[in-house]
Amino acid sequence: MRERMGYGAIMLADVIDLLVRDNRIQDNGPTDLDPVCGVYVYAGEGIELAGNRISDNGAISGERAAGAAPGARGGVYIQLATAPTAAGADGVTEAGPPALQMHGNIVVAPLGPALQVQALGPVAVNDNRLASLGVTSETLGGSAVRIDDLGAARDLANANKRFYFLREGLLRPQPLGMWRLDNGAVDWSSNDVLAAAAPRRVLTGPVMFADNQVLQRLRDRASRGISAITISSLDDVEFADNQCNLMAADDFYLVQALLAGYSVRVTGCRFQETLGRVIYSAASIGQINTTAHNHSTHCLRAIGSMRLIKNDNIELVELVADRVCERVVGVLPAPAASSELELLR
Amino acid sequence: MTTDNGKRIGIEDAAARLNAAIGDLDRRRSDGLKAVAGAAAARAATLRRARDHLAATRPGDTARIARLDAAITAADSRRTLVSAEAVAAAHAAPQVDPAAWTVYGFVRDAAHAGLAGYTVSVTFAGENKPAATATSESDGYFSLRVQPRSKKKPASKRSAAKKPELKVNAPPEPAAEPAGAPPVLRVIDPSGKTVYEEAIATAALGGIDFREVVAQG
Repeated sequence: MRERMGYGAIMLADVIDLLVRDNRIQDNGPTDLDPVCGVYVYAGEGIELAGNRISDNGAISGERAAGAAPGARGGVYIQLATAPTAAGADGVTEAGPPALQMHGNIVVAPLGPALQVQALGPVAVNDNRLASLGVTSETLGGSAVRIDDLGAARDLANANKRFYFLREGLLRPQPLGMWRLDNGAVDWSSNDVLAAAAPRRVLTGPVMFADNQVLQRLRDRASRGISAITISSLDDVEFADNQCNLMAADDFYLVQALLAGYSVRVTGCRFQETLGRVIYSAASIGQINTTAHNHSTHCLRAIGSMRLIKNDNIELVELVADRVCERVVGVLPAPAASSELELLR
Repeated sequence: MTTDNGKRIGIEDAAARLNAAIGDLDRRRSDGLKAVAGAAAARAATLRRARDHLAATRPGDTARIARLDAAITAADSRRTLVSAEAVAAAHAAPQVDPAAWTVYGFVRDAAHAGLAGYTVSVTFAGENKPAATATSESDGYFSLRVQPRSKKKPASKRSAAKKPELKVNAPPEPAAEPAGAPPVLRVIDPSGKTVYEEAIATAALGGIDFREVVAQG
């Protein structure tokens, strides 16, 4: 039951068309050791958060995070955000608005993620300051920002919709319903034949995370984490023009930003970490992947099983320790399956 | 995560932890889809109560009643679609087998309900007997593991050009001189009628194909 409830300044169980704009949501909750949120929503449809200052909910106790009570905590915590849908003549269709739009907010969470959301539908998080000042053992993957979108790309309407297949390089659109060139014409009559076998309905889940500043500060010594930022979707993930900062003392993370999407673009970002406290500044995994024009303190790992463009990045550690990034490729090796398939005829 | 001095992590250990984090995304997605389906059902029930109350107390307010009807239909449609997706996500994914081709999926009706007892088979061109056969389970799930009949001409491997700035992993290319037509996936309903037939051009060793077949009628 604990995972379906939360406490905070704003708590909503089920809401449609939620708009929270230009508020100060501050200084709620006696201690950060209790699970406290600035905004908590269990199920929301079409959520917009804009221009809010959400900070210091759960007064900093100075105690070690290991003593924190379990439960939903953080700045903005949304269990399920869905995009509005409408019933069309042949099934469900998207009505237009996104599952979540969040822009122009300042979110500072004393303990726990600044933003955690699980969504089904488009998500846009732009122009925010998102800071987490501590982590608990519950939030070691995506400890500052965690966005999991349950949707999938329209290309994958009848395909293996699994992150396992994404990791293995096997998440590919099936060639059903593709038109063919026939004697100087584009012929899509094959769609009619295959329509019965190939359901074309899919609820999409593109994630746009752009122009944000993210801070993960670690206050306990010897935290061991997976990632400060985790964004996943079997649709498109855009991670652009963000400034991401991980401040650690004696702590260690595997990667600052873990980004997994059917198609993923990581561009124009600065990833900054305390030197020697992560292996990768960012790891991006997609079937099609562009990771370009980023500056990072540590290595950037990019995997694109169908197509990868990785260029014009500057990895600071490569400038001071020659070829160090090649030596840690094994932490996230490229999938072997996609390159070794042998067609059956 | 660390060794005795507290400040070392093996590459394999780090890889295992990172892969586990990626693998966990499927569990989260499956749980999340179930939760969305549950929330949609709860919302539909709430809207139904509101609609019935409105119809009883203000029967003349047809515009609001119609809007509630549309919202109920939308919630029901979403629950149906998401439930079907949740069932698919909840099944364990077939593991990659470099020595076989796997095809799996669901046989469903037009309302996304699973259909049991349908026979799903794969037959190589020029053969009468299927290379693999399965019967769909209660939720419509089937899985076939197909072994190659004979040694095949391997697909051309990608050039191992070591370009540090640009890496291209295209899908497998067809064999230069394919020996014949690709294998056929066939679905037969319990009465013996063939409801689906498709030659799968992507059949490949180590490959995994998914099909969701919607039976008509």
